[in-house]
Amino acid sequence: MLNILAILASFTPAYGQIVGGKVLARPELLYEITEPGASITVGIRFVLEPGWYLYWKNPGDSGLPLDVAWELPEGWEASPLKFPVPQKFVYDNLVSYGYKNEVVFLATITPGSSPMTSLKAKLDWLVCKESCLRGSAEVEVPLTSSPKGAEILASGAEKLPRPSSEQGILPVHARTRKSGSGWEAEVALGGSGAEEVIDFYPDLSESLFIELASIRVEDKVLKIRFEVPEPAPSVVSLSGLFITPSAGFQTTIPLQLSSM
Amino acid sequence: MLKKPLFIVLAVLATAAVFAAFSIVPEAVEIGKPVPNFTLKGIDGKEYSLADFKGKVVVLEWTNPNCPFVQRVYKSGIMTSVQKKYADKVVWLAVNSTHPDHQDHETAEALAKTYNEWSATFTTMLLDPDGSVGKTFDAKTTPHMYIIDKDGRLVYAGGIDDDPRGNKSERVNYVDQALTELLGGKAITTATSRPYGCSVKYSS
Repeated sequence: MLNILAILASFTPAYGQIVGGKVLARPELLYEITEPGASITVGIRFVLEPGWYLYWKNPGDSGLPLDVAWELPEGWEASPLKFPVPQKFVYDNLVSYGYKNEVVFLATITPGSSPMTSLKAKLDWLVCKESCLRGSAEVEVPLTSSPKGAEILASGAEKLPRPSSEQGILPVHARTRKSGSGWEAEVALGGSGAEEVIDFYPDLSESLFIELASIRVEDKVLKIRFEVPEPAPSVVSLSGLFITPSAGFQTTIPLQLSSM
Repeated sequence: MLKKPLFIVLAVLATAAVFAAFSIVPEAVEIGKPVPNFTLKGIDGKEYSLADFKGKVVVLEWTNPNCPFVQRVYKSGIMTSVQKKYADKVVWLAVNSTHPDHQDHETAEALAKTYNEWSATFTTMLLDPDGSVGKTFDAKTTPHMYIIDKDGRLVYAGGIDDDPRGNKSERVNYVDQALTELLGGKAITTATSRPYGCSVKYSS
């Protein structure tokens, strides 16, 4: 049985924004094939100039996440982009979730029957420091073997969110109450990992407008304020990441919206 | 004999303290509620108060010409088409809350020139260098849009449309929709939406 490990870095020049002679964000395509015909793990790695950052899938109060359009032959399919656990940046009470220095976004590509000789994607991103700049690039990598990047893809995978059950973090009790034009929720956390939770980064939601600067986790209690577009449903779903000092854990918390 | 008056004095002081405590809480701007008045200098050097426009529909548009989202909605006509459509029906106030020490800060003259080149047709642009009006409205992004009805109540807060990335073939322009409904005497379908854009540059 062949067990091929082919990892390759693209040598396509990066087309980023240049400020003061420096390229702010340099994207690079990496991939790994463990077995012919099996799915391909793909990484989009960005190296950023110091201070500049890219956004998480929920950018926060402002910003825009990376968008990728894969150019694949018919029958091939790409998974949605997997975003690693971000950092939180707060300026003037405005919250952003993103990445500084270096970040690897991952996706899984399922092969179709038609051949593919190179992997291509169009990237569109926003990079910010004090100000923001839009960037775009077409990246391409030939699907031949020349190992490079296995460690980068592996470390990228390690930074992805994990299920909260894995860390023993459980939302055990949730209370909500009407507060002004919005709602306040307090979610008590239990389980063996609850004490490690220091923050909560919510997913982007169409049914909840979360006041990001209000989010606190203290003494195993998550406090959050949000507004709900009218007419408010009786239950809303709060999903996102429980943040510990070393990782992030995906969770979904149902919240009853009824006056207490 | 002295006990009672002293008690009353204390009660009065306590009441005063309660009122003082309430008065330092900034008035929250809320959909359906009256918005507080403010006075700011425009790029034309004149002072404008919201109260001057009583009886008129007012649109507030938070802006910063150095933000790529603002540049996109102007250059693609998304912002200017709505400004033009309602030019003689509403008062349109662009608000710039960029801190003077921030690199995105521009002089009144430079702002007038840029927005003129972009064919903006707002009533004026107001300068809010200390960010106080922006913070009262909880303006988070550029652009961030607000609509105030003829009675001075907030009726819309959110994005200009539902297309942060600017690549949708069909988009809903929430401000256009809300103004059409408001001026037509109808209920507003979407009173809040998620604002998108760059952060408002409240500090350096």
